[in-house]
Amino acid sequence: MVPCDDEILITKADFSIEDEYRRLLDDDHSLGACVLFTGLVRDLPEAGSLQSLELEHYPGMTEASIAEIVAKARARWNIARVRVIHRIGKLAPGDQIVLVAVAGAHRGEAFAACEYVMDYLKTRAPLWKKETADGRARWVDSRESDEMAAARWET
Amino acid sequence: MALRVLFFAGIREKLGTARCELPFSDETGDVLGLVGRLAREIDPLCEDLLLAENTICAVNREVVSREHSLRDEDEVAFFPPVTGG
Repeated sequence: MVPCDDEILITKADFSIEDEYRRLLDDDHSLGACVLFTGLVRDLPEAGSLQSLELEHYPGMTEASIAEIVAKARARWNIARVRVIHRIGKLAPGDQIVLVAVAGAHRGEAFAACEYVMDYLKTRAPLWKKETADGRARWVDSRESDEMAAARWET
Repeated sequence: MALRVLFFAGIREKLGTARCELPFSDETGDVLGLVGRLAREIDPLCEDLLLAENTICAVNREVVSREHSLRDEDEVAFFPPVTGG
């Protein structure tokens, strides 16, 4: 795995978009674009049925795997700064679960890199969701659509 | 002189354990050989669970194939397809 000085954080704590935005930009006037993606815990189709979502991860490998994805994004696009936060532990519908923030000179590269990091994070980083609904807990299945979203970057 | 073996998510729950240690021996060979040992020495469920087509194996935090050769002190992890994000 590649060492990387981009900041990657796996944490139980919630995050503030505003604080992260300021920290990422750090008053650097060479930056012309900042893209922030936030993933949220979504309720199930039968609204109100999701009680909680629990996230498990593989400490050490999760960080290393995201660092590798960020390094590949950097090799592909000219981007200046990246921040990835992924929460673990018990979350409720509406909670923030993941942040991918990318800043650079231009929006096109920042948008693409942000989407790339998110697509690979979903399909490569060792994190697992367990949802509890109607009093029953079950591990969430991986989705083929996520795998296809990541695969499109390989062409 | 040992192999550290880790289990995550549904696999951890089905085996009822998150980790175990096995003394290293050259006869273990590759990941397949390790699963054979786990099935004999830890839980017969290991055979089906760990060799399932969608189970992922990582050695020292890198995803590997079932034919990956193991060395002493390796950390070997087994987990289901990932669902973060």
